[in-house]
Amino acid sequence: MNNLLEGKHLKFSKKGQNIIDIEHIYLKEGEIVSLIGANGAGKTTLLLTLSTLLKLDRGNLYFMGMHIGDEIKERDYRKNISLLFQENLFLDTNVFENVAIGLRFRKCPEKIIEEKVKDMLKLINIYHLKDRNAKTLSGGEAKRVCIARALVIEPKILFLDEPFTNLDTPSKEEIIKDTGKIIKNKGISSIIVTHDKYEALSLSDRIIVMEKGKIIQEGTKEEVLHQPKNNFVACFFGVENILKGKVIEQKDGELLVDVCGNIIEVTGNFKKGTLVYLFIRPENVFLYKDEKHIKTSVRNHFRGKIVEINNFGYYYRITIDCKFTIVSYITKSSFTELSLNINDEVVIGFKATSIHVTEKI
Amino acid sequence: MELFVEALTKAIHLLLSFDYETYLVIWFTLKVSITAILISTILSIPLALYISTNQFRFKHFILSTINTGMAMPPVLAGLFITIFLWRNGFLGRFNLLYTPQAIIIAQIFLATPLILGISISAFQSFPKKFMLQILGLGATKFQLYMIMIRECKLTLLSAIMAGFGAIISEVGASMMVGGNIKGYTRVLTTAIVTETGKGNFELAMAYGIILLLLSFSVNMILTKIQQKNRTEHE
Repeated sequence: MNNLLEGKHLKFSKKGQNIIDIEHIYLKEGEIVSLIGANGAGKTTLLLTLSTLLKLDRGNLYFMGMHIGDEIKERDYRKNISLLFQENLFLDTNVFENVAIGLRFRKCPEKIIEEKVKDMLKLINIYHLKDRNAKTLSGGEAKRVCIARALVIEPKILFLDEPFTNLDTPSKEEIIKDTGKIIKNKGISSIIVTHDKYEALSLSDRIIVMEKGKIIQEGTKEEVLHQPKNNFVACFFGVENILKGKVIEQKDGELLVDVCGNIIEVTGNFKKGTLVYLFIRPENVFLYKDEKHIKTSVRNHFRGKIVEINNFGYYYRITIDCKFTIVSYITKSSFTELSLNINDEVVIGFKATSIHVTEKI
Repeated sequence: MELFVEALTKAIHLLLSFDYETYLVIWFTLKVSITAILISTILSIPLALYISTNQFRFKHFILSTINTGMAMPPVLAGLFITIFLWRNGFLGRFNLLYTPQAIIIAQIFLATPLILGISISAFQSFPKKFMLQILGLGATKFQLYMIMIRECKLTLLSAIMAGFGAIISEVGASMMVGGNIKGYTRVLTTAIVTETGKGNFELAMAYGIILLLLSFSVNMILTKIQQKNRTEHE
């Protein structure tokens, strides 16, 4: 796959503060990339600079290998992109006209506009709303109209800035599913700014994590999910157990890490004395009534006391204090089988291979 | 009270009898004010679009000047224009003082800050993200401006009406730069002043009724448009 969009040495600052400082970023043809990061990380600004709606202080953007500004005019580049913002922003007219606006900007013949808009409204399941004033729609309907408006112009690149916020969970899941399906079927390359791990995981092929205007991690869903580079990434993807420790021994890719006096076996390559973070997903932490039930592959096991039990319906979140605090997710049937109560003594266990380790910077 | 009722009756009679002199003043007033408001609108709206969507040096100073201009006393506007149009003034060589053109210039001077000020605040309240959204859908700057005008049309209409209301009812500037020459530069307001001074209350009242009727008609049109828009939303 070729790079459809590429940015090199991108810099953007405001009032002397660096908002964007990115050496290289790319988007391949047909690829969906999620851009995640804390508030103020520069995600939206990056989206606006990539769409040329915000002028970069420095750096070059390339669309299909052509330098934007020299080899292709900004205006011509913009005809190949589409933008979808968090807010439902509508013209004071009906749904049909709102969806048609991008085609009108492109001076499409009326007959084609009519045809394309109707097809898109049907595809997004809002054809019945075509004559309604857009400002009178419900949240879910409005979001669908915005999506239809962004997609009807058949962009090569779609930029989405937190597109599914302010929706109730069932509508959100349905809209994400429908949008994802259309984007993938039409092969539209997309960059999605999101705060929602469900959106990031269900839609994207690749995830980029930003912090203070820089890219701090990028990779496939699996890479980012299982090998988070820092606490933010870990927390974002639900790694509730982040333990601080010190490498006390290192041998053949095996580490012994001291965490609050407990020795944890980890696979990794860090020098003795290095301060590290251990990331353990709660679903990888097993619970036993006593040591005799522990499988041999589970090399790390510690005794502890249950301090909190949260019932989430289809699973339980158990917090255990074993000199360090650790969280475990267990199924309802396991919970019933173990008949757990607060203050019960239990044994927790996790495999050395299920721990992701990074150096504490 | 008796004088008032008598004046009112005579005024209505004067209007219904289609008195030539009365209608000449009405026609002239409308001609001058409509010309002034059209020129002001043509000047103000593109300028308001530029000011509200661009950042440049002295923007705050310009905005403050416009806001001050919105409360400009007509007499002061009359004084400035008179100085400009005076025989040895900046535009003296055009001999415009005491002509209908002079009144139009003075009224443009009065209406422009009003239309400009209200239009700028309308365009500035247009959400920035919406502008980016429109540009992000492939609009040119001209297409964006057209949409902004369309979306802010009600406020722009109010701005034009406010400007029209201000110039049709002002007396100071028209008196100073027009000279209140009968049949040439006499407008409704200056005519009211003159006729009241002469004790012709019925004629002054007739002119007053016309002024009120004009103001009422303008407000009627605006209200109708606003209500139409509101029912479309419901």
